[in-house]
Amino acid sequence: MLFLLTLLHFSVDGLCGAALAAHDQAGTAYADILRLFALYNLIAFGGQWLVGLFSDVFPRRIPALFVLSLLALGAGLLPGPGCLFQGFVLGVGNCVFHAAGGSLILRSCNTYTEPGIFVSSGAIGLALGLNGVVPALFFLFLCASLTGTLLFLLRNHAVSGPSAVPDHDVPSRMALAACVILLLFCVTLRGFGGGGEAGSHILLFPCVFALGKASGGLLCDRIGYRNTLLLLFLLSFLALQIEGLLSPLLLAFAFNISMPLTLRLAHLCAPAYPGLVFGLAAGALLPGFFFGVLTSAIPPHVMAVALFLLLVAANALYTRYSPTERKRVSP
Amino acid sequence: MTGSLVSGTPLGLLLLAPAFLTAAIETPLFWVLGFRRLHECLWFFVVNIVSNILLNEFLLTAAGTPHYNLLVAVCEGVVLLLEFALCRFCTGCTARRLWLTLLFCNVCSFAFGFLAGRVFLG
Repeated sequence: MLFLLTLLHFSVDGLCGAALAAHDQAGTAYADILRLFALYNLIAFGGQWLVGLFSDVFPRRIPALFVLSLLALGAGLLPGPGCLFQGFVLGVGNCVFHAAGGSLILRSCNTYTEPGIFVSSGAIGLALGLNGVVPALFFLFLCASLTGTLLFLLRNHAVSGPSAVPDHDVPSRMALAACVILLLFCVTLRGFGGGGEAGSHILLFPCVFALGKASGGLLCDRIGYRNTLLLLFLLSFLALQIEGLLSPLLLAFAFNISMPLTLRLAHLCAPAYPGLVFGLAAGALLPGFFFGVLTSAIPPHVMAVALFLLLVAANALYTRYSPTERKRVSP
Repeated sequence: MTGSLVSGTPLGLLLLAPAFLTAAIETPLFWVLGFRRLHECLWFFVVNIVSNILLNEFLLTAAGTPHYNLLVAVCEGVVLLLEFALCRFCTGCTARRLWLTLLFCNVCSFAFGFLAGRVFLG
């Protein structure tokens, strides 16, 4: 299922990218393209928390959400209805898929590897779609066949809520909420450093983003959260000491390592709401899209140190206040 | 990303000297204040160099900005937090003791740097 969802993530983002890029080739006015992208991003990223919350309240409806997503994405390729309609339906399709897929991944797995692998493929699909390397119809075909296979697999797989939600006292709840806020801030910060240096390397940077996200989860499961954080910081430091293309590549890799860490830790803080947490994390990327011009105003040194300190603080809060962690620490 | 002061020389290398000087001041203090194990001192030395290079690189890029002195003060605070987090990760010392020691070491090296700057640079 992880493989299917990862491939589906690749094709959904690819389809949206290809459909949006088609406007550029069709000679649509620049202002209209900007409006289209703004509306698409606003819905695709800003609406995920709502769909995520829906999937948490009605977990049995998750398969239906995949069907809704496919229908919306298909409607986004229809010729005629206009830019705004297309931006709206593509945004809805993307939003529903991400929230449902993220919720399913977080609730069905307990490690850092799965969310890392799931989120990794989107950047490559988006780059292929936006640059017109793969046509939108091919992505739609892929989406349809993968959604069909996924629904077939989910047929006998009862999607349920978390098995045992720990009972938190008030200080713990507040501390864990603060932990989630710190993690969301971390995602926002990373959104500003997403891929500003991509330039002519249309596939190189998305591949590095994907590699960073996937290896972040794997590393965290192998060497632990603390050591992964340490590695993230050391890689960022190393990237800042070298010059040339390797420097932004290494920096992008290091920053993307943090993605599965933020997702899983936020989920551990609110185990009953995997969809909401995934959606909020996606929504936290929005400021980076709309105020991306500020990227140059945040020096990479500040990004590296802030990212590390935020993740350390979040981990410290979680370890101190989570009932499960407290049980593990106390003899 | 990171520019260079001298063509072909990474900025980080040119910042090694002040970083080594800071580490040379702070590490003995760290040892005097009770952190006697070799791995603690070695780790503190490395952490000091890394944090100082980062701080000085950033301050070089921020030179000439308004409220520069305030920025330096904030950065010193962030460096303290960074050193605390890194040392706590790898030495596992008591948080309170480590925090107070780092605070003392940093205040001492800042005061030394300030005085040395006054004496030698005028």
